[in-house]
Amino acid sequence: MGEALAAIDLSASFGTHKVLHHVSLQMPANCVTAIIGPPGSGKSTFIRCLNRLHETVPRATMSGTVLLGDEDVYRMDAITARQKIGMVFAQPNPFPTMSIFENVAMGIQLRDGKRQTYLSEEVERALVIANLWSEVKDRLKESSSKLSAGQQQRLCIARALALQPAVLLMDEPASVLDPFSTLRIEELIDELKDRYTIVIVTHNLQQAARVADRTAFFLAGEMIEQGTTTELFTTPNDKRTEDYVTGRFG
Amino acid sequence: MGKQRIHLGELLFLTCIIGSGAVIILMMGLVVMQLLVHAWPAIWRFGPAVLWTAKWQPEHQIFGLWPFIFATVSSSAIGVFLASVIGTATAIIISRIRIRWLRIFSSGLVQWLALIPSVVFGLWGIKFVAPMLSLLIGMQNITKRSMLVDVEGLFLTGLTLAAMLLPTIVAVTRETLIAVPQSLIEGALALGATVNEATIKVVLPYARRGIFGAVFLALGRALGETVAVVMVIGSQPKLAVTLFTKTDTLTSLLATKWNHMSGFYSQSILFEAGFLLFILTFIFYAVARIYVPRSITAARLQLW
Repeated sequence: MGEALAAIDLSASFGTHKVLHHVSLQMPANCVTAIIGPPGSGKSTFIRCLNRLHETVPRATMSGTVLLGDEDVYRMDAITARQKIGMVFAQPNPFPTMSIFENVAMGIQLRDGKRQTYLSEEVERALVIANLWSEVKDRLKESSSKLSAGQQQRLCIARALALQPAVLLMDEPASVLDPFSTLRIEELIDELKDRYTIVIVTHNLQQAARVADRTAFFLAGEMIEQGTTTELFTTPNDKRTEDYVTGRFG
Repeated sequence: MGKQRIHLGELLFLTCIIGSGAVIILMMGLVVMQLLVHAWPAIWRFGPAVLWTAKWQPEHQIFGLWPFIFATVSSSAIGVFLASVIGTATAIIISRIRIRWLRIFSSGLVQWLALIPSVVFGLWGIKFVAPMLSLLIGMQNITKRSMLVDVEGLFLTGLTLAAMLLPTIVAVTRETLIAVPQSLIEGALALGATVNEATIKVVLPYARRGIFGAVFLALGRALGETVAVVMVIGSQPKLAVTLFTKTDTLTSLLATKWNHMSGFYSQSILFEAGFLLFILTFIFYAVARIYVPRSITAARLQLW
């Protein structure tokens, strides 16, 4: 089951360059929360703070609190935090030197050790959930780089889900995919929200409107407005949100 | 149809580049031909047996090249092995430096070290490593009269070669490692890998071709190295039965015996040794070419 995620007064910078200013956002359990905004608005940095990936970049700093359920993400071990909060990247990034099976098994093996009796069971489960099992079940030993871009992205989703995380972060997961593959990813997101809390960054407004229950609008490192997707798109409170969602800029 | 015009300048330029290209190919051909022509009498007279004959007695017209082939390959293997292990580890840590000026400084330092003439490493081998090694071994052999024992031979040569090759391997491997896409490393981190786990499971496998290529580039240099080897090998034309037997490699044989051998076949056999060296380095260079990604071949590092 998903757990609620909350960011409280989150700020982040690279060196002296501040990219995120005091953002607070509730991301309810088993909901899809979309983060929208023009390029450079701090969307990616925001979700990279949620799974503590931001801190792995040289000279990157952050302040504020992230709560998973009622646990402080920054008080746990970073490894544990990343196992509980999975992430899918913009560019499909399966490990090309590993087989399809090894890609999905990697997270479990890192966490529980090399040989586990339940390993193949868990790999199959993750691939089934990611709607990839039927396409790859006969070629699990093949290199992951032989898959199409859309399949690679679903492999990355399966890889993240294999750890049974509470939250799945998606950083523009369909930005390099064709319309058909995009559709499959969006359908998948819709199925996944029963089990996971999903936070998706997207520059595609229609995509946010299609998949998200709630939407937050980011601009220049600040969170301008948030609400249910319908509210934000039809009756925005802020002029800047209205301008953005009606296509006047961005 | 317009008349095709050929400018005089263009014609001149074309002649220049085609001419230069032809000269290079011609030169290569001449080198090989000259080697073969001079080596031919020995090849014809002694046949392939020189490859496995271990005796070298020029005064009796017995020419076995096996001791030198063996010394060439084994001293190179020792050097390349040591340099690969230490060099890969060093490249990993250098590629991970986060402080900008230190990163630039250290990679510059390594590339500069790779350009140090090998004779300097030879000096270092004979004046620093040899006494240390000799002391180390001498201390274990208390029964021997002298604390200082002779250490010239394969092992000392291997150590000297390792020092010489280390910067090459570090420089090429570092280039390969930093070419690994950041997205793959982040992918591993996001699955709960530590930086070390990401390095072992993702970065090294991804970079393995480049690392393998770096090792073969180093092997090519080791096989052909002459000056540094002459200084530490001991220069005795006999088969090395221990790591500390004075011996000779193909290169050190050529360099040291050139002026001291007379007689038709003695000269010819040296050319045969040279030809063997040519074949040996070509084989390893060819393997390296197949494995090193084009973007990071030695040309870019200006090593060859």
